[in-house]
Order: sequence, then structure tokens, then C-alpha cells
Amino acid sequence: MFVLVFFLLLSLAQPARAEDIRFEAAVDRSSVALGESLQLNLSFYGVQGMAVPALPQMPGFSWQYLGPSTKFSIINGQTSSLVTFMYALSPIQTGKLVIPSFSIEYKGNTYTSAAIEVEVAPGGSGGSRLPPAQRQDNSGSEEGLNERVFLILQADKRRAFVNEPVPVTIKLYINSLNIQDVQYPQLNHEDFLLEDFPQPHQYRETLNGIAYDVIEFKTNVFPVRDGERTLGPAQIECNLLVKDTGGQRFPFFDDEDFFDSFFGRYQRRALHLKSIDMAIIAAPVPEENKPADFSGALGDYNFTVEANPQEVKVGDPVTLKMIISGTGNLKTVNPPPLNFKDDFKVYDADVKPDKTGKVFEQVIIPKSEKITEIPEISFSFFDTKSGEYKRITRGPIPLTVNPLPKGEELRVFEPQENNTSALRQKEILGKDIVYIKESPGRLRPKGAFVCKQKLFIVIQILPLAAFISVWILHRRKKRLQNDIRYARRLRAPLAARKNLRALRQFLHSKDTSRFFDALFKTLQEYLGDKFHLSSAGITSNVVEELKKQNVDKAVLDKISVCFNSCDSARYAPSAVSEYEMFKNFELLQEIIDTLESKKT
Amino acid sequence: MRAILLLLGVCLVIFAARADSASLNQQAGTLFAQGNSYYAEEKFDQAIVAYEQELSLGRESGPLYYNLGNAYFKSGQLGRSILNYLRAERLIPADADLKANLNYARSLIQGGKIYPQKRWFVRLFSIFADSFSLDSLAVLTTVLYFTLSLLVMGAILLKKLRKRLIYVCAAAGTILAIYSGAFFIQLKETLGQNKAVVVVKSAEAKFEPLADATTFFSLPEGEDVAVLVEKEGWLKARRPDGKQGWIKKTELGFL
Repeated sequence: MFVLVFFLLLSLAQPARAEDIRFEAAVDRSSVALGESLQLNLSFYGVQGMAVPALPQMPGFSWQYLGPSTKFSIINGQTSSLVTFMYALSPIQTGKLVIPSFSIEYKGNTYTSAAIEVEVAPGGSGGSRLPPAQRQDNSGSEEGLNERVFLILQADKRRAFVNEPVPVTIKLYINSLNIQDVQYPQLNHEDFLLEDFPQPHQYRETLNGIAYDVIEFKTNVFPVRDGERTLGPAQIECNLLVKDTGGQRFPFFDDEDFFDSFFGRYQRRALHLKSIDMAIIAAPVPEENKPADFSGALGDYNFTVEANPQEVKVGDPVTLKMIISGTGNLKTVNPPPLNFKDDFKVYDADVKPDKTGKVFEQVIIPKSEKITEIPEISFSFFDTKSGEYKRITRGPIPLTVNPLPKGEELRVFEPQENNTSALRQKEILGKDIVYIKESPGRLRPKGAFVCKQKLFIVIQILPLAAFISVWILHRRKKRLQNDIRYARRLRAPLAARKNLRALRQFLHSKDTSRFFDALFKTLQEYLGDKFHLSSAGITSNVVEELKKQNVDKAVLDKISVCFNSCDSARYAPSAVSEYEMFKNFELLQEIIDTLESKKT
Repeated sequence: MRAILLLLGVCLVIFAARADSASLNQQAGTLFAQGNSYYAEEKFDQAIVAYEQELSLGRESGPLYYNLGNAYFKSGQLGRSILNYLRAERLIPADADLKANLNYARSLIQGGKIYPQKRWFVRLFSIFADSFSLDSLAVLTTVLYFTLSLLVMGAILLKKLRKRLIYVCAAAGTILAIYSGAFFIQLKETLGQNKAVVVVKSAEAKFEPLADATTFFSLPEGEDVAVLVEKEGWLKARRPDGKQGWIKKTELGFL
């Protein structure tokens, strides 16, 4: 993509034709003190890749080449290039010195600059040897400032007719100064009407061999009275940025801009610039051949008329659109007079300003069906270029007016004050309070607000309690699903108690073998679940395993006794007494109770 | 789970029944009807007596305060009229007649009513708060609170519906937050501050609670104030614009 853009730029950068090439020589100021130096710029417009031109001998000056500066731009497909070679010139004598004209040859053509005059004053002030770029900051002193920034008021013509537009230009010239906050100009215009200033235009201009940045304001003025009238002076307010030479100040605690602390300290100095005034002779429009319908329009205009609709009933409105376009003082253009008020009811024109002129929309109402056309309409103006009156006539415009249907009367709406005021009359409304209520509504004890009742406060806790309960249950359910050790430990006492109920039955029925089988199984299952062991493999040997899990020795002894009793009973069930059965049952209960009472 | 839902349901029903019974009236007020007939005959002073007697029985209602406000208005007591309209506003805030009468009565306050500068969030919640009485908002927020709790519990327990229920919970939570804000604003307005209205032609607010103290500002009849402190027959009151001064207790009527 970038490569494509690069080649596109290259293709656009065609070598300039000889007639497009321009050469200018300019200095940064026209007066200089001995010992100071000024900058000479040799600018070549429309050239590329040019070698540094060698300067000829300049009597009264010594020079030093500072370097080149190149500008290249593409605007709307148009390329432009500028190469400037900069030289520092140091005068070696006082008086009026002349920088001679330079002739430079480029591609077989010779380009010549104009000679420049420079005033060299004695260096009594101990002229500083600062390079120009730094010296500009000290130019806050009034000396020489008027030459480096000034205002010029120009008018395109000094003679004009009353109400004729006179283009005026106000130019602010700036030479190597940092001017900021330029305000719109103020122009004294007692005997003139002044149009608003549009956006200013900026460009560079060389004046008397000195390059200036120019800010140009353009507008029109219109003389309102005849005779010799003074226009101006024009005034502009702006700020000059000069380097502050004051003492050391602490950064961050200063009123100045934060960045000034880093990039050098500058001060704004208000500048009030004033141009000289000028006289403009305003002549009245000639009385000779003045048309009767001339109403003060000056300039060069075109006039068109449209009517819509062109077929109506008697009493229906027709809109006449009259467009006056062209150049001139549109403020003085009035709607063309309509001389057919007997046949038509004519309303006031509605004025709409347009980009190119003025549009008048006028409603007319035909009073009779005998009307066949809108008569011709003419517009007269004074053409300031030719100095003659001109008259443009349009029409007649054909118009079909149909009669009113039978029984319908002609009613032309008269926009008179009485009618409108009657229509717009404001309804006057009375004001008072609304009547009482018939029903007392719900009578209740005074101050018995619902939110003051205890039940209300208590009831607010319920959803919270329910939510907490549900949350705990949900967590427990989830844990039971995911944590087998926890689930078995929780199940152990429940299963054991269930088995104990069965054991009790075997005890009562004195079924020794089934009792001890069940006892052994209950103990196995309980210990397996409680300590997360495989139940099937649990025997009296489990004691060793349980020792590692810090189970009390007393409990371990009881477990051993229980398992041993079971083993004995299995091999010799007849030798077991009822008492021993009961004792083992109690022993099992004790084991379960002791282990459940302790947190594991 | 079923037991919990059942318990919540029972509690809600009991609460609603209790709230209803608290505001239920056994018999429509005969004194109210009497007051109305006096009012119709333009005997406004007698109407006031009848309505006040109804209130002295320890019962209140929005229309009762409204009618009393009207009777005071017609008898030329603007301050007491506004006072009773404001009392009615606590019970029937959305009543259009009441709004119209209160606005009209306030428009007659000498020098114009001073309206307080409310903070943005108070203004926001007031949009909802102004249309409901405190009781309505209390019941509404409780119902919303119960609903949201059930939805959250449902989202916890019912895995299949969890995603959908989360959206419903978010919506219900937003509505609950809005109405809770409105409820607390109404609660503060109704019970949080001791509001009073000037019932004399003009009340002087002094720098100190002394008869010969310098007057700081004066309040026209019908202007409402927030009472801050009471001291030996004097009340330290704050005007809606924030100015404070000591006013005689007899010059103010409490809401």
C-alpha cells in the first residue's frame, strides 16, 4: 500500500515547466546595525534537486551560507516545490547598501532576482551577534517593529456610486515575528455600509525584497452618502510572542503556561496595529434617464419570474417567485413593483436571501375570472460598470382563472389586524380550587403507616433467611455430589443407627450368629464410611490404620474388643452368653457415640 | 423448598391482610358527610369544625384532609389550607384535584413559594416517588423484594432455567432498586423530617429564640419549613432554600 502511494507521488511529481519556475531573493529585514547580520533567502519555486548557487561579490557585505530548506506539497493533485537557500549577510560598512540582483541558470534558462536595498546603521548600540532566529525575540523593543509588522488598507476603486460595492482588502504583514491571537480587523466606516469579514487568507509575499507572511481580510463596503468620504483607518489587535529576559522563576509555580518552563519562557505583548485611512469619492446615481420604478438597486443583475399554479379559481392564491441574482449591493434590492392591483389582491412579498441573489415570494389572488394573464413585471437597476440604467421585463405569464362554483361567494382573506386578533384572542380561563370529595375514602388510624409496623420489618428478614437457607442447602447438595469422603462421613452415623435398630432385634431374639454377623458388618461399614476406607477389608487390623488418624486409644481398644468378640462368636456361637451380646451392643454404641462427638 | 415457599406465601398474605385491616374503616365518617353538607351550604367555618372533629377521633384519610384544606381555603386561611393539602398529599399523592388545589393555593403565597434545589438522584427517584403514597411504595417494594428473592432462589435451585432466570432477576432487581430509592425518598419526606407550614399572615424568623431578637427573614403564610429543634415555645426552622431561623411555635402548623 505504502509502495503504491510512493509511486503515485512520484508519478505526480512531474518536472515543472520553465514558465512555472520562479526565482526570488529576499532579506528578513531592510535595516540592520553594523555588527549584526541579516538573512538572505534565495527562493526557487517549481524546481527540484538544485545545486547551491554561488553568490557573486556583494560590495559592503560578507556572507556565509547557512543551508537549504525544501518544501514539497501536493494540493488537489497540483504539485508545488520550493527550495530556499539561506545566507547570513554581515554588513561591513554603514549607509545604504544594495544587494545586487542575482542571475541563476537552471536547465538552460536564466532567472534573475531584483536588487534589494538595505540600510546599515552604525553599531553604536553594541549590536548583538546573535543569529537572526534568536534575535527576533528581542524585537519586542519598538525600534524596527513597525517595519516588521504593519497593516495596509487597500480599496479596489477610489470612485464609486452611492450604494455600489467597493471591494476592500486589509493586509497584515508579518516579517519573522511570532504573532498570535490575531483578531478580526476593525474598520472605521462612518459613511459606508460594511459587510462581515469572511475567513482570512494566508500566504507569503515579498515586498521591497523582504519576505512577509500576509494575513489578508477581504470584504465590501458601500458608500451611503455622496461626496468625498474617508474610509478607515483599519485596526487589528494581536499578540506578539517575545522571549522573556526576566529573572529566574520556579517552574510549576508560575502563572505562565506549563510548557513554557521546558521550552523557553515567552511573554505575550499586546500589539495594536493601525493602517492609514483613505478617501473614496462617492457619486450619486445620475438623474438622467432614471426609470420611474428604479428603487436603488446597483450592480449587474438578472431577473426571473415564475408563477405557480397557473390555473386557479377566483380567490385562490398564486405565488409569484421573483429571483434577482447577480453582483451588487443586494441590500438595496427591493421587490419589483406590481402594477396590477385592480385585478389582483396583492400581499406583501416574503423575502428569502439566496446564495446568488434575493428571492421574493409574493402571493397574488385573482379577483375575476376574466383575467387571462399576469401582466409583465419589470425590474430596473443601475449598472455601475456601464454607468447606465437597465430594465429587465418578464411576462406576461398566462393564467387560467376559473369561475367560482354556483352558490359560493368570493372571499378574499384580508390579513387585517382585527381578523388576526380575533383569531388569536386568548381564551381567558378562571382560576379556583377544585370542589370537595364526596367520599372520605379509607379512614384509618392516624399515622398508621405500613412501614412503621413491626410485622413489616420482620417480614423483610424472611426472604433473606430463606435465601441463606437455600444457599446453604444448595452448597451442601453440591458437596455431597462432588466430595465422596464428606458424603460417606455424613452417611456413616445414619447407616450405623439404622443397623443398630436391626441389631437390637437380633439381641431380643437371642440370635447369636446373626447378631455378631450384623455387629461385625455394622462396625465395618461405619469405620469404612467414617474414615473413608474400603469397608470390605476392615478387620481388627484396622486399629493400626486408625492410630495414624489420631483416634483415641480407648476407642481403639473398644474396636479391638468388638472385632475379637465377633471372631470368637463366629467360631463358637454357643459359648457366647446373652450378657456378652448386650455388652458388645453397648460397646458398639459407645464407639459410634464417641467418634461422632469428636470432630475429625 | 416447598415448605419455604409456603411459609413465604403465608407471611405475605398475613402481612397484606394486616396492612389492609390497619387502614380499613369500620364505618364511613358521619362527621365527614356533615362537613360536606356545611361546605355545600357555604358554611365553611362549620364545615371546618366537622372535619376537625372527624380527625379528633384519631382517624385520617386523604379526602378528609383535602376537604378540610378546601374549607380552610374558602374561609381565607391559606396557611392551614396548604397544611391540610400537604397532609392529604402523603396519603393520596397522585390525586389530580389535590395537585391542582395545592398548586393554586401555593401560587397565592405572597412573594411566591420557594422551591428547594434537589440533588439529581432525588429528582430522578422523585419521578416515581411522587406518584405513590408511602404505604403503596412499602407494599410494592416488599412484593418486588419477595419476587426477586424467589427468582434468585429459583435460579440457584433450577439449573435448567438458571440462564433465563438470571435475566429476569436482573430486570426485577433494577425495578426493585428504582422503587426502593423512591420508597426511601418518600420515607424521608413523610417521616424523616418534621415539616410545618406557616399558618399566620407572616412569620418572622429570628436569629435567636427571643422575642426582641433581630429578625433574619420573614415567611409568608403557606410557606413550608423543616423544623429542626424546639426550645421554650420557639422552633428552629429551615426554609426550602436552606436559611434557618427561630420562629414562634404558635405560628406554625405541623404536618
